[in-house]
Amino acid sequence: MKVSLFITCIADQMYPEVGESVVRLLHRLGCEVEFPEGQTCCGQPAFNSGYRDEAREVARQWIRAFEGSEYIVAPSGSCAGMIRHYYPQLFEDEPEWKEKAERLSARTYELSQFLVHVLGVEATGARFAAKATFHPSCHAMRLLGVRGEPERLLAGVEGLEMIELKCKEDCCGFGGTFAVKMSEMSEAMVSEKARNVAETGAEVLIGTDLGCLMNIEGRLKKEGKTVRVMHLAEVLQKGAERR
Amino acid sequence: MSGAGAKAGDKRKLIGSGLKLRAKDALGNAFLRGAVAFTTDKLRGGRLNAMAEFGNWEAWRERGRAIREHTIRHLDYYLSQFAEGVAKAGGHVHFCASADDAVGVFMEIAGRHGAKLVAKGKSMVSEEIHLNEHLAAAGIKAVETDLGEYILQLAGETPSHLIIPAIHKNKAQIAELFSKDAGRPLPPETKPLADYARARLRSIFLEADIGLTGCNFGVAESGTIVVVSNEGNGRMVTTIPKVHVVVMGMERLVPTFEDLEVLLNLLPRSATGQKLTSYVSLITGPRRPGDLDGPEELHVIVLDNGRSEQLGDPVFQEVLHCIRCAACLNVCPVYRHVGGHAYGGVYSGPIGAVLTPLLQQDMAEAGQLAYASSLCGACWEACPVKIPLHDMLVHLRQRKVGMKLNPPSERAAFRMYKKVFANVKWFRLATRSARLLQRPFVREGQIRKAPGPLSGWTRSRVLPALPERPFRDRWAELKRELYGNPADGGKGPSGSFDGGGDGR
Amino acid sequence: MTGPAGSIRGKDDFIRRIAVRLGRGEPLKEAPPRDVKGVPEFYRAAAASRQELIDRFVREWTALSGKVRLVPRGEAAAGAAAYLEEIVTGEKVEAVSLWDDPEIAGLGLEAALNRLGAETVVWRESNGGLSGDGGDNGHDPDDGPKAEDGTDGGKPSGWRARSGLLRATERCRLGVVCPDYAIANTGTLVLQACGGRGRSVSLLPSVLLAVFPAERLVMRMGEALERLRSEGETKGGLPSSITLVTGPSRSADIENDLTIGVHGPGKVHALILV
Repeated sequence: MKVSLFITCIADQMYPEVGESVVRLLHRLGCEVEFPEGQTCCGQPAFNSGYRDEAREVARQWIRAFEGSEYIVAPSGSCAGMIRHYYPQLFEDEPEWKEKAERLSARTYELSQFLVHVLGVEATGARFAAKATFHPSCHAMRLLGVRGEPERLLAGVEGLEMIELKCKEDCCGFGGTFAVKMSEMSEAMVSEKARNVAETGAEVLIGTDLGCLMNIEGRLKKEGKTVRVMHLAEVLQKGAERR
Repeated sequence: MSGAGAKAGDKRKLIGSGLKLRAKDALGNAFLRGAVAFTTDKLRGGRLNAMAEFGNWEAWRERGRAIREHTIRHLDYYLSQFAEGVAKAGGHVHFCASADDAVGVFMEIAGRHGAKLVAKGKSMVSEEIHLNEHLAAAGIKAVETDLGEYILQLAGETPSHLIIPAIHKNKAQIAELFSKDAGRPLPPETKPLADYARARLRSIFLEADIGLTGCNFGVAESGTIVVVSNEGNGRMVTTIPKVHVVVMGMERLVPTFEDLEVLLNLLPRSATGQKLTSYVSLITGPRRPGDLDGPEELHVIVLDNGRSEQLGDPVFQEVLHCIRCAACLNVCPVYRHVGGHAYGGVYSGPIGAVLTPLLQQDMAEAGQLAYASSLCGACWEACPVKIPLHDMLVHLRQRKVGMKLNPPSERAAFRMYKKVFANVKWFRLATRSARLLQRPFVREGQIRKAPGPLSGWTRSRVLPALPERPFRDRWAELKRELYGNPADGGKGPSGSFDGGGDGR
Repeated sequence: MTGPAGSIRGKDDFIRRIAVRLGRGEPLKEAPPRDVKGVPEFYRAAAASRQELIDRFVREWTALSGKVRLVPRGEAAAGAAAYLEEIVTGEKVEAVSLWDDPEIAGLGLEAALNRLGAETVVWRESNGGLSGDGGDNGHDPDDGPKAEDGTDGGKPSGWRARSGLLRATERCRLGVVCPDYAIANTGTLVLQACGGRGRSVSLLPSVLLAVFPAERLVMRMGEALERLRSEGETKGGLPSSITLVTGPSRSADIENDLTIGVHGPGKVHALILV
């Protein structure tokens, strides 16, 4: 099975080791992974800020990059959600591109979705002894309907003790440009999320979206907390070490 | 509208420009934040329990959505039918295009009856048209009879929540307000305070010349006004005073009683988790000959005030489906931290952020409310009639951009974004430059104080530095390791990454 | 059942604007077709036995702090009298407001109450007052401020203008009604107002007693609404007021503390004839 890695701009530029974990994980589960080099970003930052035309041009580049792909997998509910949920309507007025968008969006998956529903895998052979808690991504839940898949995958990790996060479905306050534009509101939200994480007593915080994780980790570090923050892919790839 | 002379106090009153200031005020108010979080947690839990107990919640939401959509799509028909029904039952319908028209009608009714005292049930629309101010100017006393609104009226403040308006007030503050009102000290305990309010408001009900309510739903087939209430003030003001005036938004209709059942199943469960409010009053016309209570005169003011502007809009027509349950407020993480006042207007939370710019037809100021959201989508998920508020917020931002109301620096930034991200060569160049540019700010792989707009981040969080090599620069090696180099028979060099491989 | 005629002002322009915005040249005059209407099938379909309806009503009603008494039909009058005695004694009731209704009369409730020493105010015009006009008990401005029109602690003028009946009812501590329907799945009473069935009877007193035979129970609100609508059609229109009462009056506006009994009855009782 050929899988195209949709790395997402944030993983590509800021968390390359997560990308590596994704590749190794998919490879280990029997996929032949390829990386379309023309990809940059899904366009969501512009789209969410109301810059539809700019978003569309970036989306066009994404479509060009993934044109020939059979399966497109991203370590991000937010980015996969952008493709699945918004790409077709972005090209509403361009029938040719709309058709491409519809075709590709139907083939795009967030990682945990792909593992559970396409590969049919829940036990990935991972071993990771730790007390951990999980923060679900808003967009994975609400745009993609991902509810429980990450948890099921984590339940299949030997030695991992999962503790429920209080108010887990509350947004962490990232929201892309929101974190910077409405920084005080964002700070209030992330500080409550960080507090809830600390209260679980977990050693590790796990998530599916790097925007969330960067946000929460950034806050935890500022507060001097030592909770380790990891992407689901890293945990499943037997707890790859992060720097 | 911030000029050199604008004071901070004035700026706070501007819906958009004052948003951050008001938010900051709220964020610094520990009691408010605790009260809002406590209340919204309670209401959220109520709603979730009610949904689980009721079952098939998605099917019910879809019903609610379909009924409201059908109604709004044919609003001309149903509103006409509704008015006929009210008139047939002896009520008087006044169609008012603007807030001023509505106020004018009310003042005319009040004048005709020589009214001195108006007992008000909860009505967001009456606040939308600033009725109380006009009444005060005309020397007519208007008393809010919803307990929370009464507290606020004494305090001279506006609501911080749609359903429980005075959650930001504690018992001590309420006791102070009530003691002053009573002319004698009252203890900061719930029972004596509630007893006082009960007696005090009872005298208002019994003396009022006019009772005013909103309308939760108008049933088109019969011209019936539906008013829900837990306290009973909605019943009082529609039973005792001689005149009952209803102020309703023109979109608050359902076609039939069958449809009413659906909405009455959705509304209380979504709002508080109750199966039904303590009281639901179905009012069809004034008292009939032979009735010994009930109003002698019933007036229904049907208000447009910016609503019809949303009809025919493929994106925003749906905002008129709202049934004002406040479920979106209760799940909104932004509302949770800043409360209702931060939104600067009558309607707060996600629905307020969308409705205010639309009704006021003001993108420059009110339109800024659309940014008070991380677009998490919780509002859409909670809405009993499935209004995609999260999408509407993005559309409002698009509208603002289309009208060129955003700062030139922002427009330039996104033009740059497009240029860089729509082209891989530019992308590589830009990201390489970013690694050079970040160097002065990096300490031990982190950035603790970023310049410019990113300072908003580093004030409260650490920013990771960009690692030297992005993923795409490592791909070639990774690929060779996993899939080998066809030239050397499938055996590639072993990986040279940080962490990687099995067996850790 | 017709009173003075109603009126409509400003309709044409208003409706026309809506029609135009919706893409129509002329306002829609014909009822639009509908494929989806009312509650989903699975909710409509469930049939329930009489006993299930009673059990469900009791469960919902008591969950809201309502009290209930089941009395066999054969012992209706005696059972009602006994329950009334408990309420009158327990709540220290001195005056009782009752609907002027053959059902209530048939149960002999007025007489039973008088035997218990309670004064009764039946909801009819001739009942002008208990102890004189503009009386002394009942609405006591003790807990309120000075009267609105500046008169001293006596009744303010607005109140003076109210009917004697209303004033007398206001002084009653218990109100007795007989609902036309009761809704089992929410524990709700359906009270129509007309003539001798005043709204104030179930509103002004702080205790409420609803008496009804179990036949009046329906499972869901829609069934009650349907019947009310049909009745309305034969009577030339719905009554001016139908009130659905689900438990006591309540508020959580004071620091989220629940207060029971704000502007409506805080204690609610149901007597079901089975």
